[in-house]
Amino acid sequence: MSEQSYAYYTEPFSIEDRPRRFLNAFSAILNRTHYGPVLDHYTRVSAKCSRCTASCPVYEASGDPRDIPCHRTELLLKVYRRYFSLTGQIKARLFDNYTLTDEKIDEMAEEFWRCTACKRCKATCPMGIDHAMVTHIARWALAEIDIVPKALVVSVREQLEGKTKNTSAIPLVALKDACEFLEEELEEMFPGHPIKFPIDVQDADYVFFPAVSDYLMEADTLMGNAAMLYAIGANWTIGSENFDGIDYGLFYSDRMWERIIKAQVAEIKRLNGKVMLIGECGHASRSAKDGMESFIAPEDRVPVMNIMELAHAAFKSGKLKLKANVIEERTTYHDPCNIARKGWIVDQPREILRHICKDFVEMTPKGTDNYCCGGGGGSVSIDEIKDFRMFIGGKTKAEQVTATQAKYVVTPCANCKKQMGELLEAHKVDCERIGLHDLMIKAIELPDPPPKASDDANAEEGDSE
Amino acid sequence: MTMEQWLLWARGPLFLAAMAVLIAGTLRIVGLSVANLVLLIRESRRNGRNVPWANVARATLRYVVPARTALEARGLFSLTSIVFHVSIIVTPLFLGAHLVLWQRGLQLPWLRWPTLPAAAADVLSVVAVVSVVAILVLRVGSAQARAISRFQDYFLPALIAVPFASGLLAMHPAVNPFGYTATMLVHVLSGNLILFLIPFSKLSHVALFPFSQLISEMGWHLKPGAGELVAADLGKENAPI
Repeated sequence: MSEQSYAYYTEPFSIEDRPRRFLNAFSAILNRTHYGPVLDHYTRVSAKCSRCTASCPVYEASGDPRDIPCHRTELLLKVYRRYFSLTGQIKARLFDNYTLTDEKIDEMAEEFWRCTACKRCKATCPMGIDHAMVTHIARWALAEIDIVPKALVVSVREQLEGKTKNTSAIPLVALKDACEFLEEELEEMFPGHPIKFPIDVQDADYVFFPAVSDYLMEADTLMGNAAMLYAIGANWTIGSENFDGIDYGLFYSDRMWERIIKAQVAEIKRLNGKVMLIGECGHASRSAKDGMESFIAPEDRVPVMNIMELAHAAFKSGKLKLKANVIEERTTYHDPCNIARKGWIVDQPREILRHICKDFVEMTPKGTDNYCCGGGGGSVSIDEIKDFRMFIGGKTKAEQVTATQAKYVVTPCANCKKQMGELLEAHKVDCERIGLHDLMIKAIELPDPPPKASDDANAEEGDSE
Repeated sequence: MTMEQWLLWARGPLFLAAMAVLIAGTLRIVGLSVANLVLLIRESRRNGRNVPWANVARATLRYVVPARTALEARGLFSLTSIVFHVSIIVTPLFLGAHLVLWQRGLQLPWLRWPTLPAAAADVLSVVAVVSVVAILVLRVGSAQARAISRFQDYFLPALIAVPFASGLLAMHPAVNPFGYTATMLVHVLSGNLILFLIPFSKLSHVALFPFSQLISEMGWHLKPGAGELVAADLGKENAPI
């Protein structure tokens, strides 16, 4: 068993015979998944043109050659070429030019966890090499020999095998208490409106999966979510047996990814829900959407929707009424990579923000070309690498936010929220990170309270019954 | 053998051998790619998942017509690379003298396609040589490019310049300090070597480029059940996390 030796903490792992065990794991992954042809293709076409050096926020900040996407990717491609390609095997016999050693495994273990998997480099690669996918594969192979950040594996263990079945280990009773508390808060904000956090409603249209950490850390976002859902009259529910949208499998293991999405879908089926509604969370949205299409049998699939999509659709159709220009302070928007990079959710929140904010400004670049907050790819959950996140991974983002001189940076992702909060503090930026729904709740116009409502019903919303 | 005989050999049997390797090697890698992609797409369809063809096509075309995206990252290098690619693709294919070779070699005297005026070919050849020098300077002169460069990344551009430089010299005996036959021998040998190396080096992007974005897309069409099979292979079925 090892002593701790990486920038992140791991659980003890065996160092015996590691190269062979890594190759076994890598080989099993290549045999059982679709990644083989992809890596084969990448080993052939990778032209080392160095354009990716101009797009990686980590490399731009660190200037360390090992952070160049192509350099990192080559670490795994070398293993592939040597052990899984014909020419590599012939070359090895002729020149004895490469052998996988413990040192090389350590190098991979460090470097593949310095990538935030933001995928900015893919767009600048003329060959379309998806360096984030290579990171994803390498991390999985490493995880199978127990080299994986402890913070992530502990969470996944609790989610899949623990009593609470969620990554933050929140017991159901505590969740119910939290929801009741939030309901009381909402009652004060919107007197006469019974805004609820419904639990275990059968046949609901939307089964709600926020990042479970929102229940501990993002009360305002959740209240905004509930108020919005109430305002549009949505029939939604939280599932008591699975209420966590987090899926760290996306960051290190398809094996875990599949188990987690299956458990989430099982809860939707138990409740006979119609749509999987993800809260303000980038990785949860992508892992649910891609996971649903990949791992769930077609007949069991349900549509996956991010709550901002729902809010936006309701806003466009006029169902969700928002007061214009309620937010006086300058506001900007941070695109979470996992929902923005492919253009899935870019304009929807902006349309809402342009309506409710008096002074909405953009960062450059933005949207599909945005910069990662520096906490992507699971790194935000790894507290021991905070300095890396603050001054390397998130350096450019801090500069971008500073340049806007905004008072609010809307950060609709649980991971980005944690990172952004720490980042603004570390860089002493006079700006508050906030969720889209936290802001939106200040602009929501509710219809007249139901007739049964108490007499103070007209306090906030004007029109009395 | 005399120099003339060497040249005949290089233009004849050696060229045919290089072409044979090029064709067989390219068919192999393209065939494997197509077969893999067909299997992946079929499996994905069976799994009820569609390929976003429009996105894939758009991403691919971005770099077929890279004018708009060139400047976004390492602008000077990217522009040089575009000039380089255009000149090395256009010149050999549209040079009048090469068309004659095709007509003779394939014994199809009626074969025709538009050819470049000799002066234009000269200019493009100079552009090719200059752009190779620029590419190498930009690679050697950049710490980040050096950090990821392999032997072939220096060798291949230099090799590609050789047939262009020697072709120019052969066409202009007045400025050529070497004999015509020797120059042509270098021209043909280096050209043959390039053809030969295409399937085995990064030059394979000549044939594989169109599949790149599609294969990256298909990689994310994850295989249901693969994780548990990996666990079984590694003796970890039902093992706690």
